[in-house]
Amino acid sequence: MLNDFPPNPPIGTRTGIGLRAPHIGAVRAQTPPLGFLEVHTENYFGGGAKLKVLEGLRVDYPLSFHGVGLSLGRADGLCEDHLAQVRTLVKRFEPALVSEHLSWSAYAHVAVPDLLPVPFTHEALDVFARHIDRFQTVLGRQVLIENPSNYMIFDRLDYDEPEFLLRLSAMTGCGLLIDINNVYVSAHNLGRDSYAYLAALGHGEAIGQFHLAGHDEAPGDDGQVLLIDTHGHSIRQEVWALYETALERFGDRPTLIEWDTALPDLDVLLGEAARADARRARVARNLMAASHA
Amino acid sequence: MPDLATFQRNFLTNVMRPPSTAPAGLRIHHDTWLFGLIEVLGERFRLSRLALGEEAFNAFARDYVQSHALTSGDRNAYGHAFPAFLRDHPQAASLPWLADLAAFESALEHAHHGRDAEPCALEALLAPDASCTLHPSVSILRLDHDIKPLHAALLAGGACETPAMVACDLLIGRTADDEVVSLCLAPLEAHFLKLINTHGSLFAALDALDPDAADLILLQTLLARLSQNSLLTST
Repeated sequence: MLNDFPPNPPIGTRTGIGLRAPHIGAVRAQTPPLGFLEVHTENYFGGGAKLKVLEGLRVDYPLSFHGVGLSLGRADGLCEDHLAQVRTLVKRFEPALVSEHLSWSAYAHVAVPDLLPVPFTHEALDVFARHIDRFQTVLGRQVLIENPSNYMIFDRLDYDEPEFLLRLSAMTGCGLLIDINNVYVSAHNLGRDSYAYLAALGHGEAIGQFHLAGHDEAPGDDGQVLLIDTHGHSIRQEVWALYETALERFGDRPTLIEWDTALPDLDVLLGEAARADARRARVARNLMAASHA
Repeated sequence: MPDLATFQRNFLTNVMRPPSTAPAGLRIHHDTWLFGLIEVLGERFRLSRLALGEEAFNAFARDYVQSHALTSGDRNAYGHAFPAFLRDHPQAASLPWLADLAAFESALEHAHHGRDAEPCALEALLAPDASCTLHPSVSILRLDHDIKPLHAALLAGGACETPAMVACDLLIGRTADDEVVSLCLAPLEAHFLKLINTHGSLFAALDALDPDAADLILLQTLLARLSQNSLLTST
């Protein structure tokens, strides 16, 4: 099952942003200095002018295709039509990164526009491994799998999330996309330690990308507060701190600013990307200084 | 923990119809499902939402979401049955033009984003054994109201006047230059185009229709227009 795929196309050293429709005109007009643009894969299913626009953007930026609808964890088998559409796009655009989620969103002809939680059991591990292997085989390349935001605790599981991700990577050769905000949100909601989560990922050799995003608060049970991964807010200070720890522990990786709801002007996203770049540079300098000390 | 299939079947049921004692985490997934799909409909039917107002539109959208499942991981494809749903909805009976506006919007959306296909020259499609279909971006609509002035007024942010009752057939599709075109059709032309897609061949469609000489001239003119707009393709 372990695949030996050719290296992916190169990606810029600067931080990238998630490209959403209201910002396309501004990005085309300004061509701001960004490492890459990430799009939701399913938004480019079909045809028409949007694909030609993306071809134009590809001239200036490496692309990352981030899927939200393949439902890798579904128990009843992957949707081959969905997979074929992803393959068509990947062949056409040759993105630097292709990613999906450690989640499921469909079963037996019913789907939801959400990333639903996975019980980390032996059976779920087998299902994910089989589907990721199929995904990579169809694309002929490595994909990255992203840790989700969790709002619910399940009893009697066989693995915790970091171990589940590492086993998947070992079984399939997939890389990991570590969403730092999701680590923080899940740790808060499940009463866990976000720094221990990062430590459980070992040296992070499989990590191929970081995501950064904002979250909001909602009332939970028994007067508690739940954190919601809304992607509708600037990145919280606690998440920046966790990101710096991830950079120190794992080293620099392509990093993305995600913002999907209550979308601000492009300049706000560019500011967040610049903040990430500054942290990446500072941590790199510190690591270099420490290695020379 | 039950097996994964049972877990997922039960979980989906609970997401869509959470019990009153549902934990907050499950309610978050419920809200993401419900409001996520209402938002998908609101984006796809922007002008219908504008014409109705947010509150009324969301009430229709909520009813639709609760009776029509998303069936694939491509949420942008959701809502194709929304115009028909509005046509049959008792609360929309006083707005008989609403379903037509939604159908028009849906066809425009499909024209913009439908699958690409290489156009085929009319001469090649006229060969007796040639296969032929309409371009994947094409929709053929029967509307009961003159919806274009209302659509244009809403787009321009102008006043919303009640559309006149005028039945018409429309073809909406995308040209090779990615321009979306809307052509008025005679009933015979609309029927003929549906036959092309049913039979997958110009010859078979003509055989099925068996037009007289005058109708044949009409259809030849139509085919020439479609060919000029790159709206014919070979399967």
